Amino acid sequence: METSGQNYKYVKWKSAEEMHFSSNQWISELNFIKDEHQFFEDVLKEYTLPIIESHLLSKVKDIIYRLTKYKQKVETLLNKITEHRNGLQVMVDGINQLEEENIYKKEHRKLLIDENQFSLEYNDLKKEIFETISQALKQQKQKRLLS
Amino acid sequence: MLDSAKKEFSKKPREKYLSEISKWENSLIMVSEEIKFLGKLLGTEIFEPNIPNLYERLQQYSKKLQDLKNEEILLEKEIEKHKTDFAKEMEENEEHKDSLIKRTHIQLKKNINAFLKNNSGLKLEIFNFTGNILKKSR
Repeated sequence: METSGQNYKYVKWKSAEEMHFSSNQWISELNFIKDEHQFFEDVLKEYTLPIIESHLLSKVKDIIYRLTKYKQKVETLLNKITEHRNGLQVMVDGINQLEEENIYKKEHRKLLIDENQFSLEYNDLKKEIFETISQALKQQKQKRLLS
Repeated sequence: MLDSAKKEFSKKPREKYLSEISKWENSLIMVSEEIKFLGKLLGTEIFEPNIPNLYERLQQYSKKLQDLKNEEILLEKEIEKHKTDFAKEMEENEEHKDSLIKRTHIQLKKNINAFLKNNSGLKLEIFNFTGNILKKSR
């Protein structure tokens, strides 16, 4: 993925409507991630036997620890974006406040970078989860076939 | 408008479009991985066996995942074509093509957003159903 190389200068051409749409989209994505977290935690914590038998326990412990960290990150990011979205008034009140509008756009750009960075890291973690669970399931299946 | 200024003018939103295209591609790659993982998960014996209609429900979800995968492949192709048209248009810089590509971009954006929304809805359904019936380790 190449987002880290982008500078997101195009934000200055985003309209108030587009920024509002993006903020809502981020909020919805982050709320979804909260449900997804719960599911991964359930799978990793409840279906423990194959994980123990596959010698993946320390890996899984590390993943659960990181998932918990991401939970906190999601909450922080959600609060920031919700606050940002609620401050959109400055862009649509019809009053010409160039400085405030520029500050708002800068904040939007910063959130866009944070959100993209978060997505990249979170997707990497998800791939690790998929790989680890798949490995445990595969080993479990092999074991069943041999027994 | 001078030629250079005209080029600069149409270059600005393009950055935005290209960034969106790149984001769509990344989203579809992730969706593809998720579909593969969930499909695998549904096909393994990790659920409590005595759940009414378990097999049928799992089959239903597997089918929905397969449909989503087919849709994802189509979208991937559309994005690829859009990218090629976009690159050509950037070289040729013809105004009538420019507006056609923008229209395609907007339509594609709608389709991808709808697809991602469906994908999230299905995943949520699968999480809610399977999350409660995972086989407990005893």
